Amino acid sequence: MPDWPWPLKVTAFFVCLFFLLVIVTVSALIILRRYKNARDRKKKLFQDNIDTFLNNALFDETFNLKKEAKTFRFQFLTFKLQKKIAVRQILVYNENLKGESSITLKNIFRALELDTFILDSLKNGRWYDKARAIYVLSELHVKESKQVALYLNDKHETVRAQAIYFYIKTAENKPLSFFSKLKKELTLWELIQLEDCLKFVYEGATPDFSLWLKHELSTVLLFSIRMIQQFNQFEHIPAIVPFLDHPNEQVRKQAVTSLRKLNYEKLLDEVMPKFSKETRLVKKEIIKAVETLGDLQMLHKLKPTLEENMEWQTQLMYLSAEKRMQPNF
Amino acid sequence: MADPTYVLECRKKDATQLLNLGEPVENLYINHITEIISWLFLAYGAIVCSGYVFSAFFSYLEIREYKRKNGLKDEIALLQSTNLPSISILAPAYNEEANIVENVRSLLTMNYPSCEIVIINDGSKDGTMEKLIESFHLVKDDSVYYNILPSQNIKQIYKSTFKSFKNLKVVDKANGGKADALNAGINVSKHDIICCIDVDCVLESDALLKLIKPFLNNEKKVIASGGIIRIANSCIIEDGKIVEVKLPDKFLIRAQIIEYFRAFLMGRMAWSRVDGLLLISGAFGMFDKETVIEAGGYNPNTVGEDMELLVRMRRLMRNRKVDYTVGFIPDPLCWTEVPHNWTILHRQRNRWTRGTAETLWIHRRMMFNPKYGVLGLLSTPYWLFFEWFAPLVEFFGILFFIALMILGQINWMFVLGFTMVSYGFAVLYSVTALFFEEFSFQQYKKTTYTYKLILTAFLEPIIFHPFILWSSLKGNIDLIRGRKSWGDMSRAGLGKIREEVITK
Amino acid sequence: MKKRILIIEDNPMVVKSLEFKLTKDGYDVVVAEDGRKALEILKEDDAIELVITDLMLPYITGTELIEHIRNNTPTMPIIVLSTSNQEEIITDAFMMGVNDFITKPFSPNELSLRVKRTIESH
Repeated sequence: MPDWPWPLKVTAFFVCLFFLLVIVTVSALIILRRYKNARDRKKKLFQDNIDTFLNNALFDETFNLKKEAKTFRFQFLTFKLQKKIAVRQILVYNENLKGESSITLKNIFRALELDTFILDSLKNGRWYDKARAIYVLSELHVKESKQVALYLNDKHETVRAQAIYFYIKTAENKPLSFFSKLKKELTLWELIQLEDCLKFVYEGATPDFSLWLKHELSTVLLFSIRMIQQFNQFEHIPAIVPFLDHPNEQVRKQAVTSLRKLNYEKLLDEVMPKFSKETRLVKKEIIKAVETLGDLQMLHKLKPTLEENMEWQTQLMYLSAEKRMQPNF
Repeated sequence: MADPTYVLECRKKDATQLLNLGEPVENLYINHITEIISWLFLAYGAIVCSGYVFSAFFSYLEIREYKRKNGLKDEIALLQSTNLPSISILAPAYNEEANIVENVRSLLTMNYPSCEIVIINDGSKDGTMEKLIESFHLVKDDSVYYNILPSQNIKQIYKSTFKSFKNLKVVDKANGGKADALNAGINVSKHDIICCIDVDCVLESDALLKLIKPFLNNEKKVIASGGIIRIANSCIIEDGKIVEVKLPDKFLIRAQIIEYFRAFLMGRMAWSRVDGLLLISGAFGMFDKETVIEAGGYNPNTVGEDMELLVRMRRLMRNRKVDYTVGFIPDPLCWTEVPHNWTILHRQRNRWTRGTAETLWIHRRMMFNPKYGVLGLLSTPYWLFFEWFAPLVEFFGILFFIALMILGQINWMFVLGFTMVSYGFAVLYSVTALFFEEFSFQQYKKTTYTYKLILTAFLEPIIFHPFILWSSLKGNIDLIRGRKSWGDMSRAGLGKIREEVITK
Repeated sequence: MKKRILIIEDNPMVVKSLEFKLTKDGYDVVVAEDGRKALEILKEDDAIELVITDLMLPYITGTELIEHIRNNTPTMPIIVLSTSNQEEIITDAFMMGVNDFITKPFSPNELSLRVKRTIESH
């Protein structure tokens, strides 16, 4: 060995290194696979346990929840993994059941002291634990608004989003009051989720969306203008009209869309004069408005502007609208 | 993979020794050249290795972050939602008579609130069109569209009379190839986001929802998003859904599985981390339609239309100085059949090589151009040296080695050492990819599968790799032969598109 | 004798709960995870007196299954248990002759009462 030329030594070193690493990776791979398989078996077993427990607690009237929960806790709820699976199963049941059973489920959650477990991970966990904890709390309607408020402006998007959903999902009335604490713009994804929660999860009275038309975040404005239309709050039409001149094009666009869908009769008088100065995004929306609320003659008034600026998107939109509006089409 | 670096390394020392013994002058030359070439190979090998180490590192970070961010599965509820952006799914079909009805049926059951499915019959010579008309009760559809992107003549558009197929649209057009068919599909499609897929792909039920998510941020414009492609061979598929994931018994397919792990879990994940992704697989990708059209649509003159389009779109955005990004989802979303015999595999790889080369050639101005940032300084050079040139380097390495052997200048100790190093590294890279799969989205659950995959990783460099090398070389040879076609690879400029819009 | 009920549902959680609850209520419960298995069971077992089915099922959809049952055993009572709450789907189901439609999330107590009522009225 010592009398080898150095390139050979380097080569030999790398051969040893690579093969050592191969052995390490392969063993890690096999160990991990076996560990995961074993864990899956355990999970399955434990899942059966918790399933039986939940079904008994839900449907057996003679079941003594307090006593049984205590025994179950000592017997099966000692490890973190077990607690996690228990929480997950409760969520699955919660998703599929309603009425009395759904209330019972929430009692079971507390009786098994899983709420302390979740609150603990909210306080001390990593950011993804926190996001998960907030998610669980909101799904099971555990009211911890003060705790959760801390995360409304969290630097991790996932945590922030879950905190936002928490407020809507758990609210009995005024589901959007958290807007006042909001300092970061919402993402489009969050807006979609919010709308969804409002329509399908929140059960209280429909909020007055015009309250948020003075908010400093443009995504909140966008959302409120959209919601006024979605929930047909015709009385707020006058409050939307000024947003046709808002500096943010997305807001302007949403204002046109909402007013069109609300059938606001003066919309075309408002927007047609602005057409030539508008951005592409809003122009397309105006053409749509003319198509639904106006006639072919009005549409033709927009033509000179189109010929000035060579934007294919608007032109395409215009031509399609024109064709659709032909009387014989 | 790595290359005959170390073989030649040996020559240096050897040569010096020879010199000291007082060799004739012409040998001095040979030794000198040998030495330089040896060093070049060594440097290449070192760069390749460090590149792989970096990509492993970045992939790890990316996968970890994705797993943490998406552990809640709270999106499923959204599938009932009505306010997600609408998507147009474009699927070209050419002579698919045998499976077309089943494939379209499975597309129609896609779990997404609002999407239209556009099947483009690209001038099939078999009964594809008739089968579609019959099975889905199609009638002529006269809705408006414009040929904003150039494509072969669209003969007729069809829609279904059945309510349950109301999202289906079928375009019957003259044959023009996949890119051309997709362009026609883009012209006909209604929605602003398009999803281009191979009609025979098996998609996970929430695939569209996952792919749309990157688009819904309000920080950066997203021009495209793509996901990991998985291999469906041997998996049990029923009604267009993967029921059980099985590891194929055929070595050829298992080797491709490892290859896909390396390419997707290590390669593309890492590129996505540094935002240098150049390719969204043609089998399944989502695009912002406006940007696609502005960039000029798919290029029908290249065999690598998927890569070429994304590169062109990125280039356009960069030239316009728009802050943008490309999304990448590591979840297994799309399953596809890969070649199951050597002939088809050879053809596929041959095509891939040509596609890469053509794209890089068309966009050669981006290469080493600091104006394009990561794309110019990292991505394109990477594709040039490690995707396009790697087989060439390897091939010339072997030639060089043979030359040395003929000249009788081989130190067999070194040959052995070198072979072991490159083999060791190849295996290491594969098993790392396997480990990533285990760490991330483990699909092959049985322990025996793991053993088989490890065994495949050990055999792959010996049995599979030389074949791939040969296919790529053949691709390069074909490319040089058909070089003429490079000349007329002009792209549809926006000017032309404008004209069409205005004159129509 | 216990009345026998066939449950066709692919969500294991829902299956387990239904099985538990309905067994408690004194029924004999048979489970099929998909439409194909359900048809096999229906063919062989004529003691079944009620079918509870989901609409989104693997292999054979709930709608097809209902049509099949209606063609072969027109009097068999059917209760649909589905996540969809769209009016269109619900009316379609009733048009096909199902006896009841329950939306998920569901209340097991309510379901139990509806099962009882449906069986008694037959």
